[in-house]
Amino acid sequence: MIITFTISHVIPADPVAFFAGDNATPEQIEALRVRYGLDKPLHIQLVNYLIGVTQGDLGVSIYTQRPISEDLLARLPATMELTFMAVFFSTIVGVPLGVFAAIYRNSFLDHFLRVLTVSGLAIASFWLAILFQLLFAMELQITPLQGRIDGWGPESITGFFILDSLIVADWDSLQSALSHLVLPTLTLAFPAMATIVRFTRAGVLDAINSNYVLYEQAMGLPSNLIIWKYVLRNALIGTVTQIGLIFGILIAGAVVVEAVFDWPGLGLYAVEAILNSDYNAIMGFTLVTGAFFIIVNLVVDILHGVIDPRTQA
Amino acid sequence: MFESAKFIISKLAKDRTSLVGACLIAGLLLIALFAPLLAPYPQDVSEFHPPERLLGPSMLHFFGTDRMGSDIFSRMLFGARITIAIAVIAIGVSVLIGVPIGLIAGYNKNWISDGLMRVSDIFLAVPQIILAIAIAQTLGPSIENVILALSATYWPFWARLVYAETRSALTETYVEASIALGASPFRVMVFHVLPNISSSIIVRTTIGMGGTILTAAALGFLGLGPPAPSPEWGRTIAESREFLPEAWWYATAPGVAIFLVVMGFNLFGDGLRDILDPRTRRSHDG
Amino acid sequence: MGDSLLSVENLHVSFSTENGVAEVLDGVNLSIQTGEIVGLVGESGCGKTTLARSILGVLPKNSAKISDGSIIFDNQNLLDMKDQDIARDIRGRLITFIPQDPFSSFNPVFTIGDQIMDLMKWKYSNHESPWFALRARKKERENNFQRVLELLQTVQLPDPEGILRKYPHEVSGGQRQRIMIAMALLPEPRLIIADEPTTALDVTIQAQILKLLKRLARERNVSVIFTTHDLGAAYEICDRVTVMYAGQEAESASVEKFFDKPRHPYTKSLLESLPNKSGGLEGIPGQIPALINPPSGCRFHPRCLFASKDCITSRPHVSWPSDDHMVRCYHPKVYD
Repeated sequence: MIITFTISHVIPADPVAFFAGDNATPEQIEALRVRYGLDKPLHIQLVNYLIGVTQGDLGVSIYTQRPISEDLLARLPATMELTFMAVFFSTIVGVPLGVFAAIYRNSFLDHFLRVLTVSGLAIASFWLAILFQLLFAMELQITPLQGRIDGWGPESITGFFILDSLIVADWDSLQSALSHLVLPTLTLAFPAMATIVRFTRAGVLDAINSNYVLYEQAMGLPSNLIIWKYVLRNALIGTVTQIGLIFGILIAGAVVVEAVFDWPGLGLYAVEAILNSDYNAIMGFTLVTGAFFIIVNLVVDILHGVIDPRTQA
Repeated sequence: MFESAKFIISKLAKDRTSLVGACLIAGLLLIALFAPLLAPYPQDVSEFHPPERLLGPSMLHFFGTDRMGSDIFSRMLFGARITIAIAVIAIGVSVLIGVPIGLIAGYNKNWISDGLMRVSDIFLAVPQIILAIAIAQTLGPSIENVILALSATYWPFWARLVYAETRSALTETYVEASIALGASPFRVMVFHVLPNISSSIIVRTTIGMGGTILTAAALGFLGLGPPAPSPEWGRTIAESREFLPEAWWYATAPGVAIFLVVMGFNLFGDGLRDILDPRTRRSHDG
Repeated sequence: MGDSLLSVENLHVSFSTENGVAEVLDGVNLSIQTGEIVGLVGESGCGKTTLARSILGVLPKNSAKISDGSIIFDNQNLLDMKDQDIARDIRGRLITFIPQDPFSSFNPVFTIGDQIMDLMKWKYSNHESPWFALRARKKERENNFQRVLELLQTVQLPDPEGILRKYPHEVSGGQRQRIMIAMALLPEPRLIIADEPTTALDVTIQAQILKLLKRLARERNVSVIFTTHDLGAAYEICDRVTVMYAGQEAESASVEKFFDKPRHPYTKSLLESLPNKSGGLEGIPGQIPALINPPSGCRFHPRCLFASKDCITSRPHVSWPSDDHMVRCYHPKVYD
C-alpha cells in the first residue's frame, strides 16, 4: 500500500522521459520501448511494475542491463558497513559528549560543543567530504583518497569487508578496508553526532532537574551512579527515538558522501543512475531506501515501547 | 499583535547567537539583492575568459577564477540569489499547500483527513533528499524543477504539524465556544486556530530554511539543479572537484557560503524557538 | 536545651533569580532532639522546604547561597564539611529523606526493586566483603534482600516481593509513599526529613501514612523533621511544632502549648483561620511578601495588628517565655 502510493505519486508525474540516448534512431527507440514494456499504456506499466515489485523484481536497469534488484543487493553491504560505522562512531563519541555538556552546563566545553553541533548541522556533507579529502588525503596524505579498498578485498562471505577480513585473517585487506573507512565515516558521522550530542544533552539536563535525581542526591547515592546509570537511561530513551531521524540524516548523507569518496554503495548507484538517466534504477533505489527507512522507524518505535516501561502500562 | 512582535524583537536582541544569525541572514539578503552592484565582474555569470582560468585568489579576483576563467567571487554573489530564491519559494509553496491541508484535515474527522494524513506519513517516512532526487531527475535539471521537487517533498511536514496543532487547538474552550456560537469552519480555522499555531509555523520555517538550502545544494551538486553556466553553489562545488587540490579556492568559496547561510538560519531559528516555544526553554542555556 | 541531635543556628540562605536576590531564609534557628518528631509549619513559600533541603545540603548549586549560620548535626557543622563527605556519610545514612511527591521521586524506568537494592548496596554498610569472595557477597545480597522485604512488610505493604518487581507507575500513591518510608528507614538513620509527605496523597490515606510514620519513628527512636502546611497533620504526629513565616521562624513549642497557648500573632491568626465549629472562616488580611525585597525587621509586620516601630526596624530576637516555648516577637501574647 505504502509503496503503491509512493510510486503512483511519482510515476505519473513524468510523462515521457523514460529512456536515454538522443542519438538513437526511431526504430531503436521503438525497440527499446517494446523491450521495457513502455509501449503499453501507462496504467498497465504501473500494474506490471507493482506486480514485479511484490515479487522482488524491480525491473532492469537501462544502463547496466542487469536486474536492478541484483544491482542493489550487490551494493548494499558497502552502504551498510559505512552507515553502521557512522552510527557506531557517532554514538560512542556523541553520547558521552552530550552528557558532559549537560553536567558542565555553560562551561567552555558546553559552549564549544554548542558551536560545533550547530556547525555540524550547517555544513553540507558533500563539501565536508571534499574538505576532508583535501586535507587528509591530498595534503597530509594519511588516508586514501577514495574507494573502499585497494585491490580485490577479502574473500566475500558476508560482503562486509571488515568482517570478512577478520574471518579469513586477511590483515592487509583489514587494514586497507579500515583506512578507507575513516574519512567517509567521519563525514557521515558529523551531522549525526551533532544531533546525538544535542539530544543527549537535552535529555540529561531534563533528567538532572527531575525529582528523582533530587531524591537520589538527597539519599546520598554516589553522583557517578546517578549520572551514568539513572540519568543516562532516562536521557537515552529520548535519544533512541531520534535514531529514526539520525538514520534519515545518514541515508541522505550517504548518497552524497558515497559520490565524493567513490564508495561503491547504494548512494553511488543512485548518483550513477542520475547521470545515466537510468529511470528504473532511480525508482528502485528510491523504493528500497524508502522502505528501509520506514522499517527502521518501525523498529525504533517498537524499541521505544520496549525500553520505556511507562509505555507498557 | 504588534506588542508581541516588539517583545519578541527585544528578547531576540539580547540573545547573542540569534543576533549573529540575524546578521548572517541580513547579509545574505543584501548580497542577493545588490549582487549586480557588489560584484566586480557581474558579467561573469554568463561570460567566460578561458585564458584566465583557475587563477588563485588575488586583489583582482578575491576568490580566484574558475575553470572557465570567470570570477568566483562575483559568481558566488549571484549564487546567493539562486539560493534565496529556491529556499524561499520552496518553503513558501510547501507551507501554502501544507498548512491548509493540515487545517482541513485537523478540523474534519472523516476519511478524507485520514487519507491526507496517510499520504503525508508516507512522504515523511522517506528522507526528503531521496524523493527529491527521484522527482528532480525525472523532470530534468532546472531551477524550477528543484523548487518543485523540494516543495513536493516538504508540504507533508507542514500538513502533519498543522494537523496535530489543529487537533489540540480544537480542544481549547475558546474554539469550542466559537463553534458553539455557530462560526463557520473557515472562520474557526483561519481566525481562531491559525493565529495560535502561527508562532510554531514561523519557528519551523526559519529552522527549515537551513535544511532546505542544504538539500538544494546537494541537488545542485548531483547535477540536478540549474545547469551550467548557473553559479549555483552546489554545482560550483561539483565543478571544482576535478581541479583539486591545486585550485582549493574553487571549492572553498561556495562551501563557506553555504555554511554561513545555513548557520545564520539555524542560529536565528534556534533563538526564535527558545523565545516562542516555552516547552524547549528548560534545556536552553543561561 | 540539652544535647540536640540537630541544631540549625542563624541560617541565612538566598536564591539568585532573574528578578533579583531572594532572601529565602533570614537567620533561622531550629533544633531537634533524638527521638523527637518536630513539625515545621507554614504556608507555601515560607522557607520550610528550603530549610529541609539546606539540612540535607541539596540546594540548587547555581542559584542558592548559604551566606551565614551553621547546621550542627551530631556535634559536627555540616556547612564545614565537603559535599562528597556529606553525600557519603550523612545523606542516606544518618539523615534520610521522604519527598513530597512519591511519584516523580522514583526513577520511572527502573523497577522499585532496582532502586531499593541500589540504596541498600550503597548506603546500608553491610557489604564489606571483597569482590572476589563470591559466596560471601551472595550471602550479603540475600541478607540485604531479606531486610528489604521485612521493611516493606513493616510499612504494611502486601506482597513485598511483587512490589519489588514493579515499576513506579504500576503502584498506587499510598503504596509509593509507604515504600518511601521504608527506604527512609532502611539505613537505620538518626533523622528523617519528611517534606510534606502527605500533600500529594488522597485525604483518606494521609492519616494512615502519618500514623505509620509516627509509630515507626517511635519504635526506632528516629527523629523526624516533618514539614507541612497542614496544621491538622502537625497536630496528629508532632511532639513539637515550629512555625515559619516568609523565611523567618516565628514560634516553636510543644504541640499542646502550640495549639493551646500560641503567642506569636501569626500563629494565633493561623489557628484562628482554621475552619472552626462555630462556622466562621477568617483569613489573614494581606499577602505573603515577595522575598526579593522583603519587609524589614519582622516580616509579618505589614499584616500584624500589634506591629510597632521596633517590629519594622529590627527582627525580634529569640525569647523563651516558658521553657520549651520559644517565640520571636516584640508583642507576644502573654499567658500567666
